[in-house]
Amino acid sequence: MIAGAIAERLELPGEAVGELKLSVVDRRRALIENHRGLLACTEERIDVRGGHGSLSLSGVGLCIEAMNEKDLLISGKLERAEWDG
Amino acid sequence: MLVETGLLGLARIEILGAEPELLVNRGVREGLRLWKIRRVDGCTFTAATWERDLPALEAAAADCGCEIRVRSLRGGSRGRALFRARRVLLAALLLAALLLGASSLFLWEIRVVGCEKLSEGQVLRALADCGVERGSFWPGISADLVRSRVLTELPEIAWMTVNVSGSRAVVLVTEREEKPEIVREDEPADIRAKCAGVITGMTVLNGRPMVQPGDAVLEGEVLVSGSMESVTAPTRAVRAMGEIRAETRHELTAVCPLEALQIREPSRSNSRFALQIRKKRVNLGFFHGKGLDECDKIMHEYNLGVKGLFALPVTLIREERHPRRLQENWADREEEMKAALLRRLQEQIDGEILSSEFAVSRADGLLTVTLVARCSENIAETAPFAPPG
Repeated sequence: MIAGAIAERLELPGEAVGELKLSVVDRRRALIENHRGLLACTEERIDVRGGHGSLSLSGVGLCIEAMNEKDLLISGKLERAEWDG
Repeated sequence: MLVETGLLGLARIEILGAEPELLVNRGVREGLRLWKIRRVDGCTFTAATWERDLPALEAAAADCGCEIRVRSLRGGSRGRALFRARRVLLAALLLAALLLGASSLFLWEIRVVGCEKLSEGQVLRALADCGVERGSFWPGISADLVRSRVLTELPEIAWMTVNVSGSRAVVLVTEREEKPEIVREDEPADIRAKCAGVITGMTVLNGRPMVQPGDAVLEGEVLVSGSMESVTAPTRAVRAMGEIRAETRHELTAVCPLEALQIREPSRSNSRFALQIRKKRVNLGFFHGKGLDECDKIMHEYNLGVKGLFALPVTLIREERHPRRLQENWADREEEMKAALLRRLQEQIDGEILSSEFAVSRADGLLTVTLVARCSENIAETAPFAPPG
């Protein structure tokens, strides 16, 4: 949280200080950067842990197209994104 | 991706366990590549990974209480094996191309064009004497040298050339035309009868007629004399010219044995194949039945290669054996002989056949056919001048 505030004060992008970044392309693809791990994965919901909570993406036919230590690319029909914590 | 799949090997796996996510997170942390991750049921994920990451993933799975099942494997070690096999194939193709290139420096097919009086075999033999034959190294062949040597050997040829294209040689031949007989118009000559007959018509252009229509003449008798008499001038010698038509009678006889060797109908079992590699022949089968003494052999040769482009030093030969047997088949032979006799007579005379009769006899194992024909023909024949005695 402190890092987030500092970044905001310094007008730095959030991902530079390790905050979760979600990019969505036309409800078909979502790129999550700076994740800290996969919490759950079903075809209807994918939960990802972030620095200060978790992010849940809901939809239909969700699939993790690619994943590495920092980024996660999700495909499917995205319906909702929820932040927890 | 296709190259990567081929080289690294694509593994489709199933991750089974209570919490497959744990394994996914662990794998990602360890730098293992995982993609296309999808949950198929409560405790199963499907994913894709590289073949090389499988052992590390399996080790991680054991720690996470999961199990890895490989559903399919593409490329990788199998791909490399295939690539190795293809490397051999590529090497074989390269070797074949090299051999083909080397073989194109030699002649494997020689075709002779333009022969009418000479046989193709005569020309090929003369060419072989000059070093142009199957298997000859064509860059060492000089068309000029070959031409001058063949022209010396075969005077019937007026001009020839050897065109080499790849491993094929086309020999173009122009045969020499025979010089026409030179007739000196001013040289005195008589016209004599070339055969006996009864004169039916005369057209005398020059000379003194010695016979008239209705006369019977013998072979060699003077019909038109070249001696022209005159009351006002001395006797002149001229070249007699004209056409003397006469009714003639010809008799031709042909004899042949009653029994003749006949070719039986060919059958499939009487053929075999052989390969000729350069000058070496390899038989690919055997003839069945008796020996080859009473057989006609017919050989069909097929040059392997691309027609008109290049030929390989391999020739496929199909050899047919047609057995002959002694057969009394005089009915067919009689008709053949009659037709042959008529053809022969027509070639002999300068006119037409008015009527013909055949006499056939079979005696002492011989078939004798005699043609008696009445003809209307020009019996004039120019002969050296003989002054009247």
